[in-house]
Amino acid sequence: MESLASILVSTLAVTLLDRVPGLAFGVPILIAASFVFAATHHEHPDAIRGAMLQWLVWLGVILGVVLGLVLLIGIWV
Amino acid sequence: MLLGWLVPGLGHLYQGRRFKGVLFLVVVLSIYITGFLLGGGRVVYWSWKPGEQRWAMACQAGIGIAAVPAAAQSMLLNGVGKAAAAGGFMAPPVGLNQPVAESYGRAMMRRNPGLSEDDFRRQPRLRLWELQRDELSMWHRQLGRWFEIGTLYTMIAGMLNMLVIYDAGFGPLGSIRDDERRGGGAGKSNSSTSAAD
Repeated sequence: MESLASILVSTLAVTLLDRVPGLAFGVPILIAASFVFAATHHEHPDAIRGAMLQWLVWLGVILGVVLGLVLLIGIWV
Repeated sequence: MLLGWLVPGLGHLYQGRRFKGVLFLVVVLSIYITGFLLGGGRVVYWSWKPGEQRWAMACQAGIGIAAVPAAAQSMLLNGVGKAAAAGGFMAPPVGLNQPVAESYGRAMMRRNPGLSEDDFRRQPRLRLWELQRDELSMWHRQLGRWFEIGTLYTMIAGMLNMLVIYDAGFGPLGSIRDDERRGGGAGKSNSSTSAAD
């Protein structure tokens, strides 16, 4: 089940990278924003590391949903 | 907070919050420098001329001292027959028919290989050169999407530094209970913050 999910996610990522030129340039920004958001919410290094991953997932999911909607609208219209 | 604005993370380092200071310094500055290089060194400039306002600068200015040369260059280039310093580093683009000093016209030619003396209308008596093309359009043509990507990176770096400045002045935004549970690092750091304040 996990391998199926990883295949789906990687297929989706490759499709997105193919359809949206320059999408890869958003990744460093996402990572940097996650680090800063985590570090501005916590003080201890371990807490910052944990929160960084949570922020990365949150930001990735939110922006991914927005991007997916925009792509869907683009296909539909 | 002023130190935090001048250089990302410097306020934290001053307060003794080394981990966060180094983290902010590396993360925010690397995003800013990456954007600056991707944009060919032309994406950070200050211009409030009618019709050519650079609104991105409102965000980019958050990075602090790294954006200050842009303001200085804008002031130097404001007026008739003026010249920006340092070969036009972070200088705003010269508009159509904008008269600049002859020396700056030559500096522009060195900076833009696509420019030649024929692109300027020269007034030898006044030592003025008027560009017959729009330099900003040239930059967009040369850099393409890199101009936008570089602008985005530098804007985000500036905005992230706003959060860093807030953190330097008022501490973490969220609850610090988790941090205390993890070993009491927050308590120590916060006491150093209040001491520094």
